[in-house]
Amino acid sequence: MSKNSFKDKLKEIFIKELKIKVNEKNKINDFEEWDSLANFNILLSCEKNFKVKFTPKEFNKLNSFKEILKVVKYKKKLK
Amino acid sequence: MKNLITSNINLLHSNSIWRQKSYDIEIDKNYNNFFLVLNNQNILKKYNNIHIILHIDRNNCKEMINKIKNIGKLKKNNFILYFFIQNQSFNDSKIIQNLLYKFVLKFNENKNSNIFFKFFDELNDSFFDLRNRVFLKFPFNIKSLIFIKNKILLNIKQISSKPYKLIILDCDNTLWGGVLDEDKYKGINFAEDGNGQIFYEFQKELKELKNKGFLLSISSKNTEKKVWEAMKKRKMILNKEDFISPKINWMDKGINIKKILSDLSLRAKDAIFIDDNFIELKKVSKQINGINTINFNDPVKGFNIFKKDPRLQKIKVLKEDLKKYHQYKLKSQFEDQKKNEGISINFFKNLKQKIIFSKLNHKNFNRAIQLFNKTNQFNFSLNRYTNSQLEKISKNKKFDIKLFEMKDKFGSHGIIGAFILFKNKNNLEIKDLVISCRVLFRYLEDYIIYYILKNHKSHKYSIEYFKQNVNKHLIPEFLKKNYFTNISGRKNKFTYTIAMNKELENVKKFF
Repeated sequence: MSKNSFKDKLKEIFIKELKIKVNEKNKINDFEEWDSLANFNILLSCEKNFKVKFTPKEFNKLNSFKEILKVVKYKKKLK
Repeated sequence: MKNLITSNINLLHSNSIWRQKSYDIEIDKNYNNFFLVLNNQNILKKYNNIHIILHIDRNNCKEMINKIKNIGKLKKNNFILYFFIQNQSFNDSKIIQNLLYKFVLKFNENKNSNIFFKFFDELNDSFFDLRNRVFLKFPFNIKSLIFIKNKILLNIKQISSKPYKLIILDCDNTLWGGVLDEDKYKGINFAEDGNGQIFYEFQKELKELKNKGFLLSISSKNTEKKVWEAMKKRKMILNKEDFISPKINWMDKGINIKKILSDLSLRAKDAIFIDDNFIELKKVSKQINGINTINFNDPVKGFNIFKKDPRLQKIKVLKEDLKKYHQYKLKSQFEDQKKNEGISINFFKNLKQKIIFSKLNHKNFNRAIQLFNKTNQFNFSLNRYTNSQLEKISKNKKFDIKLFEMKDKFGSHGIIGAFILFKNKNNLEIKDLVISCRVLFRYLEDYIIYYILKNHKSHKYSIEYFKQNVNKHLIPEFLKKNYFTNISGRKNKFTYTIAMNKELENVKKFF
């Protein structure tokens, strides 16, 4: 998977779960829909779609588009 | 049918998994106070079915049981409880089972209970996720949420689908294996190991459905005597008395089924035909529009489809449903006599028909709801009422709701119709009139009009007819009678006035 396809896929997840269009600079609470609970839903959906598993620490910390993308990419490369 | 889903876990309601357009579902979002909604009667009144997902483990078992003990006070909702049980050790399962099954047994003793249980207690470890539980108050895997959702949707589908009324069966290779005419009754397969077992189980299932209020009938190419003989001599579960107007002859099956449907005045949509012959099935479904079929060519496969059909599940069985079998039998006796004697004034007089009117009360409330919501063909307005709406109307003094029961020399037909009147100064408007179609065409409908006119003194009587697809056949015929006059009609809403005349007065001699 190339760099951009990760990004596009993540954007798609946001559209599917929260029905919002995000860019790379967005973070939690930028949108009304993107609250803390919604953030968990995004992370769970990422786990399902990218086939990765976040550690509890990550689970609590990841709350911006950039960070999520970074961790997902990192996990995918490790594998 | 409105459904509410609540739970003792966080349901992740913003997750896309829950977005379903086909059903009317709402999700309780207050997962911190999950049982708040169960104690709030005003909220509960809005929904027909309340689904409660319960995650049970050793720690919360006792507390949960105490909390749900009091549900079911609202008798008009259905409560469906789904238990997802997490056993961490052998000991756990013992404790939980002991507590839960005692609790469930208590409810199951009552047959009219509005609480239903579904257990999921053999889940494997991958079903749960400790991290999600700690961070989200959601003890499951995200994949398990899909499983849970599918289970609930299936249930909702079963509850909200309209059950069949009639099951029409073939004999050879459907009720038993082999061909009766060739193999004789000793040669057919029934109940023995191997080939016969599946037919034994199928008949057992049919008998159970019959006890729940489904009607059974036969359309088969056979000799009638031989069929009853075979059932008797092979000690089959079903026998002659279980079937209503069976048609066993060598005529075309389509014609036979049409006869059965008209005998019982049922629509093809509400009937299902089961046969092992593909060509026969195709022919029937071409001749009769809308009839449902199951192919029994491979009995195991066919039986599986039969068992899973949502329209063959009935979670709530009303007393009226159980009487129905008896009543349809009366109807088919009536049709037989009509054929023999012909329709004459004497014929109706000899029937000794009687109508008994009753006010809406808590005993017949469920039947009233069923009548207003399920009657299609002879329903003037097609207004559908929820429990609370009907209750509201019954308290309003301007409205008058009555139900009526019919008896004749064959026996009682039960409560077969209802009407709602609206009084406004000197005008009397018949807001709703519904009559079950199995008793139509015996001057009952005329008599109801006569009764209303006679018992309510006012200047002007009127009735509204809202024409829709399901009620466009019978009612216009009825409105042709000369005591109705059409005064207005726009699109598909028509208003008729009613006046007393001789013809209408004549009706009373039939009752």
